[in-house]
Amino acid sequence: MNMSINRRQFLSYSFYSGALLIACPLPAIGKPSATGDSSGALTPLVSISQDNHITFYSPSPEMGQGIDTSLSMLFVEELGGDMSKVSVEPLPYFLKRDSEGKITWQVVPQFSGGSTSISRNWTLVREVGATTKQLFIQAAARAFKTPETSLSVESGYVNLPEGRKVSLGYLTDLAAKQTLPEAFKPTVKARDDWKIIGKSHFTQESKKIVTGQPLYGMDMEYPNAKICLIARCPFLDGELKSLDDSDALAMDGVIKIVTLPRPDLDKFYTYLAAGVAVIAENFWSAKKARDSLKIVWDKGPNSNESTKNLHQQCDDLLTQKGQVVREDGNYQEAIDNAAKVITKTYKLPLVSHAQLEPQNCIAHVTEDNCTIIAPMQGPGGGSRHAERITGFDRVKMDVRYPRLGGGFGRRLTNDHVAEAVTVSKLAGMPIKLIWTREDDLSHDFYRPMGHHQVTAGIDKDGKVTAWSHRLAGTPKYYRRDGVEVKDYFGADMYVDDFPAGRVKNIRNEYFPAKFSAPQGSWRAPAHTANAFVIHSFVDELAMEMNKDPLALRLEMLGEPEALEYGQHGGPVFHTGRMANVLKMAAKRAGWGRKTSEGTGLGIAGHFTFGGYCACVAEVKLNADGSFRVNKVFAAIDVGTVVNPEGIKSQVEGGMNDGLSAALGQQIIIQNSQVVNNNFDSYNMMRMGDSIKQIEVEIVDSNEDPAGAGEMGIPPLAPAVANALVAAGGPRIRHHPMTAPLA
Amino acid sequence: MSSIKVNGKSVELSGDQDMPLLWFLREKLSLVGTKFGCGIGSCGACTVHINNKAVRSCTLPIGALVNEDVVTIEGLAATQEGISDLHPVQQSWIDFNVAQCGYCQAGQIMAVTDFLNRFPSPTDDDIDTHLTNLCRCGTYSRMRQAIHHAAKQMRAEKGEAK
Ligand code: FES
Ligand code: FES
Repeated sequence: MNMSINRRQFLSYSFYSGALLIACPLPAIGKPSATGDSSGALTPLVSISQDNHITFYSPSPEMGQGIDTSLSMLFVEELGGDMSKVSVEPLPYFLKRDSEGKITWQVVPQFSGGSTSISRNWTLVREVGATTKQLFIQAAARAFKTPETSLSVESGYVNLPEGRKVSLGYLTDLAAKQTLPEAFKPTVKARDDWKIIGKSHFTQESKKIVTGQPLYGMDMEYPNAKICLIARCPFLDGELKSLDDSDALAMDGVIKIVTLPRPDLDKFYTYLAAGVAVIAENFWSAKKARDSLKIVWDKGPNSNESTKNLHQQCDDLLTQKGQVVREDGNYQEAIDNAAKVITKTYKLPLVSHAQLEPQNCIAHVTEDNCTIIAPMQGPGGGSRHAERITGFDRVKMDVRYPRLGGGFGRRLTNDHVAEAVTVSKLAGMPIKLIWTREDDLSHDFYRPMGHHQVTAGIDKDGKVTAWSHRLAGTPKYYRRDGVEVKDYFGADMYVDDFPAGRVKNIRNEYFPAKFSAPQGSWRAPAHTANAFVIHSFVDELAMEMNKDPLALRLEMLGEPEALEYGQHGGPVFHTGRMANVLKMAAKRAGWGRKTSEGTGLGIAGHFTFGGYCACVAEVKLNADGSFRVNKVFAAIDVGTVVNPEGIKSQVEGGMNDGLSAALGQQIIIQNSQVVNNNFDSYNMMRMGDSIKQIEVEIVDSNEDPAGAGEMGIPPLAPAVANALVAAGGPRIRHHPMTAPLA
Repeated sequence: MSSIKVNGKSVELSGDQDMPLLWFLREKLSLVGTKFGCGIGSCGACTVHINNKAVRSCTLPIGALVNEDVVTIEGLAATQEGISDLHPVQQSWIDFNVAQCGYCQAGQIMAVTDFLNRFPSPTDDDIDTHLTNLCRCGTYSRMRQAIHHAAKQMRAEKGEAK
């Protein structure tokens, strides 16, 4: 995963081949630079202006995870720049054809997801920084006729002999003309020399955000683009039967109406539903016209689909034999010989992404090209849709991804892009597609739901000797291209998760439920559900065994050891690192202390995508049965710390997000339609239920850095459920915790 | 046709009188700091000030307005006396690095500035009860700190002004 560069690659990353230079004005490849101004453009990743301001072009879409800040820190550290003079822009989307005609990234992969942006770019971006520094050293050496060895770069200046210095901005043009020596290999700084990495840095965009500057796709304008709203078929896989759009067409400001056919039922989604697209002068005209359409929908093949039936289906499935997805030792024998067998079932609903910026996309399909401006976590996928729909070469497309008003996995699928491109093509004009919140909650790739039955066999010495986890739920891989049903489990059960490798006899089973709602990745995908299940269950075991919940966890983790971990976040899961964060959180919380009447502490720790995060939640139970999370003490280990502030805010945000999902969220489907389709009925947490205070402790180490965007969520819900019991409340085995499953 | 003031400038309310103020601001005046989140008055992303009170602009038709004084996030700082280009709440938001994706934050700030005018020394309970804007990124705990800090700053400024 960790990419590294050599000199040749650096050159090709920078549009040149052979022994030419790394500098190239961006328009030379026929694309506008993000700033529209090419002066000082050193590599596609950076430009430095005369006044010494550094603009870093980030290859990872920023969606609130703080990646702009972290990646610019890596670059500026190695360059020797001044972080207070750095701004970050999205890297324009650059593809190229390699010598075999295969499409690859021109610069670096442009993508955000799975908490991979840091690990993927860790070496690469630092080496680009170190290489860029070399150009400045060479430039200064030439300009000031002094040996390279007498020069260093620091805080935006090249230090010259005798205490003189010259700004990078002054040298940029000359630096851009330097040729790297044939034998050059970038050397990155030793850890002890870091001045930026490991220190806290704030979001560079803060001021623009708090003053309401146009940053998001929703805020973008495009010449002559008209607003488009789509009336989508509300029935899962339904189809348009008849349409009378005469009233709508007669309305003020309405320009055109086109229909989108239902996507193929047996393939992975391009866009999500059949629809009628209204194009109008402004949002309100489009909305009014959409409301006036007289549409009869064909309900399609799933007209009886409901989440209520789905939960029944999962209950039924769990009475059967499922697909065995992990088998260690002899589970049956161990269960038969156990002194005690404990089984509990936990249930989780579908949830929606509900990122606060609704889906939107500007698309302009011309006679021979296509422009896309949209919130996307993976612009590559967006351009592939556009290529399929238009037949145009995606290498030539103009694809832009402004700051995302939340991603959470929703913008990994580019159905909004496919819709907008289709409409622009059909209508023959540029459009700006806007989804309403109702559209957004009704048409999503929902986080899969599931019923989890967990069983443990405990021997007479109080050791867990048998373990089974049986999951019946909707598969995330439903309809996914090229994924066979037998492989569906992989996205919903991570078979190497704790306590795999620590309990001798294991049998895990999976039952894919049949349900026609689209499923997708939702921040920390299956970990949100599985962590709640497993770490609630461990507490239940502790109670049955009269053990302290922390002590039982540490006992089950055993000696510090790297266990094989085959899923995302591997190749190993280190029990010692997990135990360490559990102990840190416990210590900080004063684990074991006496709490006041009605207050309890609960603990959980989880390994998510290469990061270890644990927390202790302090929950106050009220007389009326309601409860409040007053405080959370968290500890996180994501290896080498790049930006402590970034990690801290991701853990804080993740924990509140995890609480929001656990407390009130569930998508309810009746008669094949989503019924709770706005925030009055889809219950997301507000300030009044939020965690009042969160303390985060960060482990720093020399381990490879992992991201931090998803690690905070998984341990929160089980810690809260466990704390609620400790506070004298009931054991809650379902989400939403505050309402029945519907 | 009536006219209102938006960030101190007089504006004619032309066009469809049913149009919510939110879309008038965003599309007619290009003031896109005011955000669309739900369109039903639930999330608060579209909060503006009307005659100094926080109002959710997505459900307010422009036809219902006559002569009001509207302030959006773009004009918030200018409502303050003094030379700063930021309102103390905006400054506090930066100082506490509150924003994650940032999409909700303009609305949050507009809600909080009005709230602090009514509750200059808010308790945690006041914050819990009176601030109901949604943040999917979960910045609530940070916001709480930033609110207390901004309140302190604003009290100090008031004290100085006396
Ligand atoms: S957009 Fe107005 S309250 Fe949500
Ligand atoms: S910061 Fe993203 S919704 Fe609040």
